[in-house]
Amino acid sequence: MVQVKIVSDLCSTTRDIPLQWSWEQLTSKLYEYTGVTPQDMKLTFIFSDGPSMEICRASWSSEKLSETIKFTLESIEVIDNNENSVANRLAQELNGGTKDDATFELSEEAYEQRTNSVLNWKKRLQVGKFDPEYVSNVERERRVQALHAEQLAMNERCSVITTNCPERRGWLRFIGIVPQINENDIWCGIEFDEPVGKNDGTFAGQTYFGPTRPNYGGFVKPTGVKTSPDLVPLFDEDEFLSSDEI
Amino acid sequence: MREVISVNVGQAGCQIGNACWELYSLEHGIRPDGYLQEGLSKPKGGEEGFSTFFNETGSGKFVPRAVYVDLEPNVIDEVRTGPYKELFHPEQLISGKEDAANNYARGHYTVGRELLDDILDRIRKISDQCDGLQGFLFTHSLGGGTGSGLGSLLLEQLSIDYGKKSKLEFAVYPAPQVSTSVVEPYNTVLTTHTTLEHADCTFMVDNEAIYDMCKKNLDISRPSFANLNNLIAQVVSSVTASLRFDGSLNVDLNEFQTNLVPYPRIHFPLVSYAPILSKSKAHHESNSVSEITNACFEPGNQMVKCDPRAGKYMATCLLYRGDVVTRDVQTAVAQVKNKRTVQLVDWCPTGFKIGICYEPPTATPQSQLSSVNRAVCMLSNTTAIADAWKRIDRKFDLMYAKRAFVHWYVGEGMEEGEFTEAREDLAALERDYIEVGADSYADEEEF
Amino acid sequence: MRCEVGERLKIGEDFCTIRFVGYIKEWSDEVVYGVEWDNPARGKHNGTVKGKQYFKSHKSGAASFIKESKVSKECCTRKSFYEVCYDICANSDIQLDDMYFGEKRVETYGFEPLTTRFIQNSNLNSLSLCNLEIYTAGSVKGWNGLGKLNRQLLQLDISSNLFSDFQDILNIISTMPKLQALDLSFNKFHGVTWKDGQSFKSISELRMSFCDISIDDIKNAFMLFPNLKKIALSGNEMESFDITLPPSLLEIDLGENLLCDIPETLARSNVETVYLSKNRIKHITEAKFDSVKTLDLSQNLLADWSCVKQISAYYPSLSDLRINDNPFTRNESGDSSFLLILAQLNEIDILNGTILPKGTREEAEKYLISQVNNGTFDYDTNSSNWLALLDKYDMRKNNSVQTEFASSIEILQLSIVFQQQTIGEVSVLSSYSIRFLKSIISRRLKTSIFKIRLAHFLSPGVIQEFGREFSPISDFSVRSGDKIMVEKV
Repeated sequence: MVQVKIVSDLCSTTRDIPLQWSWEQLTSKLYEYTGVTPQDMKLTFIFSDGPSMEICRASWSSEKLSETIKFTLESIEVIDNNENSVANRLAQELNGGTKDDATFELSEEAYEQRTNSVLNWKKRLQVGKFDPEYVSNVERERRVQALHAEQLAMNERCSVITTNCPERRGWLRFIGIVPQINENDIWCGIEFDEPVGKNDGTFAGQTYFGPTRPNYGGFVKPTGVKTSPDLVPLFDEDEFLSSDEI
Repeated sequence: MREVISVNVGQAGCQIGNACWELYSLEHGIRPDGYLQEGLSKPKGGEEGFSTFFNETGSGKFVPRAVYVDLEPNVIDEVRTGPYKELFHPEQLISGKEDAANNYARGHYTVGRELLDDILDRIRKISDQCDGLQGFLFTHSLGGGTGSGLGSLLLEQLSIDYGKKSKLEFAVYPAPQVSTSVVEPYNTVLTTHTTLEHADCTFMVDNEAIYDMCKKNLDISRPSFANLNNLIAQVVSSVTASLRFDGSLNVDLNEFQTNLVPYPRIHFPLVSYAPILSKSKAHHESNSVSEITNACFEPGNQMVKCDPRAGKYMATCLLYRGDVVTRDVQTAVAQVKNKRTVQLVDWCPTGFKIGICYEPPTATPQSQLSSVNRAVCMLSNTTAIADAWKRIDRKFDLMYAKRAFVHWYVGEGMEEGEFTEAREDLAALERDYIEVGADSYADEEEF
Repeated sequence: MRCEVGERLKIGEDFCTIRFVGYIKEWSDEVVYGVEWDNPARGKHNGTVKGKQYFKSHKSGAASFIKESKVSKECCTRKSFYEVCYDICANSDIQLDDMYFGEKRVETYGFEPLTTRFIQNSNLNSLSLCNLEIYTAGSVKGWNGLGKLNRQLLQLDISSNLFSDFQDILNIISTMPKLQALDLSFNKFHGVTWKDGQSFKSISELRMSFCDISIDDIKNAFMLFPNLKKIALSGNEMESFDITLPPSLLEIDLGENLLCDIPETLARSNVETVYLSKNRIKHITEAKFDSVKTLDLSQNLLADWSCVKQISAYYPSLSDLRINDNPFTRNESGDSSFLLILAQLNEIDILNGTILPKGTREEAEKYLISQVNNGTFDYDTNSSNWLALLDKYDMRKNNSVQTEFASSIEILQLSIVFQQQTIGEVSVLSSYSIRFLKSIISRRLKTSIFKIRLAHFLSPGVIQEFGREFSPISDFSVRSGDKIMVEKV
């Protein structure tokens, strides 16, 4: 018994191969692993201590592997000689281009009919969008945000207060919808005075303002924002102190 | 008493089982022959916790509550002759003569079924030794014939025989780049379909992710299966630590489900673990609670390759082990909140849990992991893990469009209809994940 | 409060040592601290400003001057050990339940017993207080509970703090009679002092990595802690390590120092585990290291293959070896050197971190034999090891046949050129087929074997197409070092 690495275009695995197997046994095993049918198989035996060996169907015999294999078997490369075989076509598709027509699509109706789906569960529990108050909640929240946003002055100094976070200050640079977050909510884009944001004014590839320096930008809900020219930068301790070092 | 029976199925399942039991034995002070280490009067971890995984015989020997099952004899023969041969009773090690040929149908219908009564009988004997069986912990692969076919058959049968007892799985997910056999996508889809309603919680482990951790974090240029399984065992041990050690808490097996699974089908939490440090690096890096907590949100510490930043969290459990101070945990969680874009599904009933077990992790002598004072294992139910299903579904589709190798399954008495049924179920699962992620409106206030 | 020369500070995320306190010309109105940063890149000069030297930093460019006003601000967050202990114990009943994650309340379990442990602090046996800006021991007065805590403590980690006076450490641990493990790494001490009769017998594990300590300090540490089993001394810039080790010592970490040899003292000790990675070791010390089971020599300067044979001879108990990233393997591929090293070490279970699977040894030994037989690897064929190997595989008689057969293979090191850029190297046997080479390259490029074409670069402008895919590479007069051009189809 030796541990042998078996490699084909579709598989790469390490298996125990008993050398008392016949060629017939070996090739049917390799068929299981690689999907290459024995009649299309071309095998390259790679030894750790001898020249590699290529074997095609014609040279198989009924004798045991140990009769032919004289070196330490390290790996077997299984190549499919049949360009049109299932394994070869699969390999091409998996490694290369997608064939989209193969993708199974579950229709909307079929999914809705499934009783054990999350969709149905949400309906039963009346949660998420099935919450009777969901629509009104969402709308109320949106109205509140939109109303507040109207009060804000663009390109004005601002302060940002969010939960679990100390006050931050900066410039209000953007008010509007960020489709990559969701379709309807209004967000405020802030250029912070310090790197206390989560991005540079870019979200999911789309730049909404700036770009600022990394982490000087961020999007927050309007209700957390106040604008006024009096909102000067907070005392920047680090910058102040760094002049105290030479 | 809250006993848990481990069921290790197939080559990968049994090998991971070995690594886990070696580690459990060390953690509880049990020698490879099943007796206590010198100087101990009772096993470490407390009576109650300890007895969930080990049974004490009249002679003072401790026997794992576990069965090993494989359709071919090689791997289990290694247990029978290996260093831990005396730990197990021969009846716990069940092997057949004919392998499953990487074929779900052989594991599930033909070859596997022949062994089924025997296995159930042995499990029954073990459960008879339990006062209050909580449930079962499976380790198996999703891609192999025995792991997928027989594994799902056993899960089904245990549902029938043991009713509502919890069933948790550690499942080896086919690595994205390399596959161990050409039909792995079939086996994975079929077994997932069969077990979807029987398993309560499935923790997936992707060998390629583990391989990368061995290379990058442990500086092992040629990781062997022993290296991979060693690391997997460390993770499994962290998840089960709360069951095995008394005092700190009384977690039941079904709490994993309660805490993590909002809806039975959505039961595949992503597992992350930190720190993964090699022996020689350990002395140079500080492992504060903040650092290890933060590391759990790094893709390099995840057991499955996917991008949680692109998904939403339904639930998160942080399981700390070892020397951890409450205040540090609070600081660490606050930091994660401020630094990370963690989006939550707000309408889900599940939440954010933090647990602690103050037995630090142990490293086995062969392990390349350094022994550390503390570690954390994060279990998070995130919609990002749907990526794993998308990947395997796509491979399935490419193959099934050509009916490639379907005859192997039909030849074992399976009907083609089962393929389409399974695939539909998985498609519905993908949709379920989308549906879970939808409809949150006020969850995140900053981007 | 004015700090003194030698004290440690943490400013922002950076640690430094005060080397100078006084006035400088640039800021004559305020006291200035001259500091040396642990991370030299943080510094601005060597202690000299505008031609005037105020002090000299040990490392080049690692110094800078800071006004006292800033230092005072940073200093006020420094704490004493007992302050921190008190703080943690007093605040250990913090409830995590008032935390929210999004809309979700954070739930906790398992913390109550922990809290109880802290409040009663009778069962607490492990305490980590790393990176908390602790600079001194402080006073235990005013808090009675601490005594109980100290009495039970087995492990104490106070690494990455601002300690500089070793006396503080002695004061702290002298109240901890059961203490077994002490981690002091990343504190910088002026020196470790030992007074006759003073010893801490319970301590078996000591970590003093990156502590700037000298050989004499370490000698004193061994006097203070006579029963050490493990000691970590990495990153202390030691050029030699000539200390008699206590018989109790089993594990030693000397990584990231400046050692040129494996310290001979280890051969006269009972040490089983030795970490020597990232030193400047050029050769294997000739002495019998009978007790060593685990040895880490990675990232050193071992330049000659003979070191493997020497390790095999001088470390009879070795079972776990790391020797990766040394120059002697630079001409071999990773896999090839792995097998060649393994084949020469008889009893080893773990090599470079790999837990060896069954069969690997046989693979390695046969690989070695073939490499020696075809002349690509230099090995003493008169040695008893070699004869034993041949006997093992029954190759002594038909040796000549083997040699003849094996000499036809050759390892070719080929560089792959794709889109005018060299994207890497492959080593293949000359007997591999072109198809196999293609499969290796296609995997590396993450593309299909059918999507690439290979050609052999002969001279600028002249490339030879490989016609017959299934012929061995040797048919195409490819030499080691040649370039293989890859073209997408």
